[in-house]
Amino acid sequence: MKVNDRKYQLGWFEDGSVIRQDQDLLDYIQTNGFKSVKIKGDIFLKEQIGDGQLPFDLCVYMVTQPFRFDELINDINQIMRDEMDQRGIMYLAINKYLATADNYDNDLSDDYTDAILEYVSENVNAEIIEYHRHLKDDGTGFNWVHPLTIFYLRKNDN
Amino acid sequence: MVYPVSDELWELIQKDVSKDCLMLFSGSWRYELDIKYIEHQMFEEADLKFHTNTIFVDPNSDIFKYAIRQIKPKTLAIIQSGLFFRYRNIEDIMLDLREFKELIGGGKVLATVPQERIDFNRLKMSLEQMSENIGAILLGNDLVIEL
Repeated sequence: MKVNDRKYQLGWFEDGSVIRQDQDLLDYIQTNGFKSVKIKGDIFLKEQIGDGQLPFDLCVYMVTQPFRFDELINDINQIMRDEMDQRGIMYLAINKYLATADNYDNDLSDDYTDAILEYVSENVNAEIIEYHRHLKDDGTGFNWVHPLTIFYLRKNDN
Repeated sequence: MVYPVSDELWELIQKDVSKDCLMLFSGSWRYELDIKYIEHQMFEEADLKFHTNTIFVDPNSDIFKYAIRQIKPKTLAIIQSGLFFRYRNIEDIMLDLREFKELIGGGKVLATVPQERIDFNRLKMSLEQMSENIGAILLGNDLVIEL
């Protein structure tokens, strides 16, 4: 998702319209008073969120391009280990339709949203605070602009 | 509510689509093929230059299936239709396509969709594996299903 594509999408609506997920995220940042916020992945909210200094207490990681689950998890674990504050939070939003895997695991649940939760919880070195499943999709939720599969992850103590 | 058609796909459509074809929800304004088209009723007043052979129906109405049965095309095509595919699970899509196949009584069903516009468990199987399971082929980024 390029920044211009995003503006183009919003251009169909009245001035001042925002994507609901964007607003939820901005509200979350404001409510929790994070001091140093970093954006990874797609950076289209950089203007509103800013660009913090190490270590970050919040990392917003948005994935709207094709990705591999194992590479994403490696990246998350590296960020958690090297860049996050002691109890830092990561907001992770992924477009589940753009995913591939390195290995296909038959032990995971048949339901894709369950399988995503199982895969992330087994492999990420962080605590899952919240998981927003992206269930039925009729294309009106702007998933391709700001993905609807969302995790809030907290860095582990160890 | 339609997805782009690549050159590769366009070649395949032209090859597969005969005069006796019915195209569903695929954007009849973008084709000059001399075939029949069904579009969603909600587009009837839209400012688009629909093909003259287009009828408008509500897909949830009885008349929709009746119309397909009456037209009884040799090929029923659903080409890059956001309205039909819209991120639905591939199993649900296949059920609908099989029903269309029954409705047209022996003709061919041809459906194409960008692979990132459908839902399947991408942690349990690859795109290639899923395509094989449903007997589809991949043409560039697009899944081509023939029944």
